[in-house]
Amino acid sequence: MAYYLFVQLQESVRRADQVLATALQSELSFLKAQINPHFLFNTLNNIYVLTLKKSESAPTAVMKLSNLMRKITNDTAVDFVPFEEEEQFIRDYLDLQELRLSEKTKVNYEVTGDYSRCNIAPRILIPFIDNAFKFGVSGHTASEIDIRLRFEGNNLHFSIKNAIHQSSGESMESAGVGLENSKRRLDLLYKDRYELSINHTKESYEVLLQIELL
Amino acid sequence: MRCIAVDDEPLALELMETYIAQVPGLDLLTTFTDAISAWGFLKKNQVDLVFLDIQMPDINGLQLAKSLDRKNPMVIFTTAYSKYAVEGFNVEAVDYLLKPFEFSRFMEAVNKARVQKALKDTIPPVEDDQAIYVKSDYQNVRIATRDIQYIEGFDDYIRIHVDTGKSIYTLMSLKSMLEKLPSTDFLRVHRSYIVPVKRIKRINNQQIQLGDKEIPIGKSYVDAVRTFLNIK
Repeated sequence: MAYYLFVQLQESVRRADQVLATALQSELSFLKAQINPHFLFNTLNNIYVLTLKKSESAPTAVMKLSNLMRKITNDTAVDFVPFEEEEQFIRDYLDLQELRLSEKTKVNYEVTGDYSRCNIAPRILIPFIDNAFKFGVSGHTASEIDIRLRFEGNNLHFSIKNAIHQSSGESMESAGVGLENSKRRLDLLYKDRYELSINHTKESYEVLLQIELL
Repeated sequence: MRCIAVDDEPLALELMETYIAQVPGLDLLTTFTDAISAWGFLKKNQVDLVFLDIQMPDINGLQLAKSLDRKNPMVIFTTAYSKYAVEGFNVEAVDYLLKPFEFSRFMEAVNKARVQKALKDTIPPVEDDQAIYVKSDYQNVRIATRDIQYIEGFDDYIRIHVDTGKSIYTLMSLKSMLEKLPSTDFLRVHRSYIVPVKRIKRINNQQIQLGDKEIPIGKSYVDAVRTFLNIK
C-alpha cells in the first residue's frame, strides 16, 4: 500500500513537473493560464465600485474572488480535484463575470448528470469559458453564451458556444495562446481519453469537449 | 472641460460618473458602452477630454484613439491591465489610469489634462492652409494664398507674384481672380492690382507699400480701400 502510494505520488509529481516545465514553462504562466489578469483586475475594480457604493453585494463578490484565488494558489501542484469543487469554481467565476456584463449579454449555464464521484484537472475548462467572454460579448448587440456540462458515467460532455463580435487580429492571437495551453494540458493529463472539436464560423464559435474522467 | 467616458463595463462607467461629478469644471456630456457609438459622437461634437477603456469588445480603445484627430480631444486611458501601457502613450494619451484607481489618482490625471488644455489654448492656431488653383501652361497650379505678394493685371492675363519661385501667368481677369481669393484677405486697389491686406506696410492716398514694392492706388479705389482698412 505504502509502495502504491509512493508510486502514485511519484507519478503525480512527475506529471506536475511535466505540466509546469513542458506545457507552461513557469508557475507564473500556469497561473496566468488559469486566470486572465484582465479578468482579475476588472473584477477588483468592480468590487472597488461596489464597496464605494456600500453595495450589499460587495461582501459576496469579495468571497467569490477569494474562493477563486484560494483554489488557484492551493491547486498549483494538484493534477485532479473533485468535480464538485471545480463546479463551484466555475460558478463563482461566472458570477464575477456577470458583474462585468451589461444587460445585453445573457449567460446560460447548465450542468446535468451525476458528477459526485468524478475528478477533473483544475481549470482545464476555464480558458474555453474565458475565451467565450472575450469574443462573445458586444457593446451594442445582444448576445448569449451557452455553457453545458453533461455527465454520463465517467464521461463529461462540455460544450460552449458564443457569437463572434470581435474582429481585432491581436485579440484573436492572444486567444490562440490560451487555447494552446489548454490543449497541451489535455494531452498531458487525458492523453487518448479526450476529444476536442472546435466549430469556428464567421458568426459563431463552438467548442465541444468530451473527456473520460478518472 | 467637456468630457465623455467610454467603458463596456457598467460598474466601471458608474465609477467614472461618480468621480467626474465631484470635479468642478468637468462637464460629463454622456457615456458610452462601446467605441463605435463614442466615435460617432466625437465626429459630431466638440469634446475636450475622453476617458477611454482600452479592452472593449468590437473596437478597442486604442483603435478608437488612433482614429481621432491627433490634437483634439485629449485622451485619458483607463484599463485593468498594463499590457497596453506603452502603446497607450504612443497615441499621445494625457495619462493612463490602472483600474482600480482612487479619486486622488483620477484628479492627478484630470489636472494633467487641464495643464495641456491651457497650453493648447494659448498657442495660436496654425496659419491657415488656404490655396487656390489657376491654369498656367495647360496645368492647374496650386498657389497658397499666404505666398502671394501681389497680383498684377494686364489686358487678358494676370501675373501672380509669389514669395518662392517664378511669377505665375494665367489667362483671366483681375475681377474673376478676386472672386477666387478669400475676401477678407485680398483687396483690389487699382485697375491693375490686387494686394494681400496683411502685407500692407504703409498707405497714403496715392500708393501702398508692400515689402519693398510700391503699388499705386487707383483714384476710383481710394474710398473703398480706406473703408475696407477702416482708415479715416
